[in-house]
Amino acid sequence: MKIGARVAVVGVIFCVILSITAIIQLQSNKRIESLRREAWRDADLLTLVANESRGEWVARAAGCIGCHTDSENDGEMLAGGVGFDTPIGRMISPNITSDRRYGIGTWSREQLADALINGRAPNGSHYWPVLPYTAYRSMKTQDVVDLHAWLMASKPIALPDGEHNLWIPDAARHLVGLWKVLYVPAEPLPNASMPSGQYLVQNLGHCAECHAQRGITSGIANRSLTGNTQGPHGVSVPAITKTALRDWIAEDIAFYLEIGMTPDGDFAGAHMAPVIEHSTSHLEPADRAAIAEYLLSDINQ
Amino acid sequence: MNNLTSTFRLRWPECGLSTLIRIALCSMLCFIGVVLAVTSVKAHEGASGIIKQRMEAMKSMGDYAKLVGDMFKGKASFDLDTIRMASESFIRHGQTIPMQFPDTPESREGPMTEASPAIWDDWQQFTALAEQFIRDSRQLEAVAAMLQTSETLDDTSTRNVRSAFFKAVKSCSNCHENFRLEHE
Repeated sequence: MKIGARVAVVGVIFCVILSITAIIQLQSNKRIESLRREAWRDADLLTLVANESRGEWVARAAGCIGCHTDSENDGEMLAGGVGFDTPIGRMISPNITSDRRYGIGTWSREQLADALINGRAPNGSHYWPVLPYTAYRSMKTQDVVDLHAWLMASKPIALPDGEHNLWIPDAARHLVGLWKVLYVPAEPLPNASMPSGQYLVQNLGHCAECHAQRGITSGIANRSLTGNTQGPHGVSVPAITKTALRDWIAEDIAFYLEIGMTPDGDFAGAHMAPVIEHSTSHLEPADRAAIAEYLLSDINQ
Repeated sequence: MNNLTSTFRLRWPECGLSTLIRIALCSMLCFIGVVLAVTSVKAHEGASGIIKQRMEAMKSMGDYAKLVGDMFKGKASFDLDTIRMASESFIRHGQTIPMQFPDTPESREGPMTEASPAIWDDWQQFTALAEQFIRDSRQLEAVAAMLQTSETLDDTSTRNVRSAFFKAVKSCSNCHENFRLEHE
């Protein structure tokens, strides 16, 4: 009798938790759908004219090439295969070339926007947040359109995606909807008055993914660039706030982002070297100057 | 004796609170200075033998890279002699790199080392990077020498030096990315 009662209580608690989860999940999905519509409202995703060559700039600034190109093993550009050690296991970046079978060659603009801004796959499932959609949330519609055109024109590579090696079942991906409620910013619309440096650092460049502290569920509640003692692969990532960069002038930062040299003549290694190689060194000098200006401004505390 | 005590008695009240605070602050600063000096000496003491040698070689190249970098940042005026000296340093140290990473227990795991075991697992790539670095540094030297004989220094020539320098130091990042362990 006693044991039966206990089982019943546990069962009831379990059901309650399950239904609360389901409700939040549904709400989250609803919210994401409505936000998406809002995001397309101001500049119609489907009518904007794409500038394909500018799309490469977007791909560089957003770090697509670095994470989706297995340079270490001479992999083809954008064909995926880069491993990421996360708290739930090892994830492998997918093929995002224009290959219609193994890549994303069949994706529409809307599907790409949905992936980058809402973290949703074309089949409606959630992406693991290793894809930094929390930062891409405020991506400008024109940038999505240009990136889409450039990706669709990329060399198709028929390489199947590598398998993730996770210690939790793939079904747990449903819980990402819950996670999004906590960490996907509420305002999806790009702010027209946002300085370009801030947009490059906090949105396209997603610097906070490594340079900010993550919480217990791997979410970044505060995107201040105060560093992360438990960075990728267990390596500590330095703070890059205005205070932390007090010995750097704007030219030092721009120079570092171009060739990886610190003010004292040391050279970046580890995980920043590929960022410089695939992303920041390809930007325009004005972009690096804008990033430096933002990093040394009072907002970056 | 009486005179002496009276002098002290006279001087103590003269020596006001602010002076005392000043003295205290000065001695605190001295103390901090001594502590910093001792710890920095210790940091160098940690490395010895081959590890110390190669760390000093890297530091020396870094110092030259900084000097040249400062020119391109506009922190220092453009000077071809510095570039020539930098490229000489890069070539000289670049040539010693393979010798400075012998496959010995001390070299692999000695105190303070930041050398990754990948160096010895992938020795061919490691030495190929060093050779690339020497080639690019020779090119930098040649570009600087060519400019030294020409009379005018225009934007194109500084751009050429800049890109030759960038090409040379690209090896620094390439090598650190694969073969240096991250500290901290």
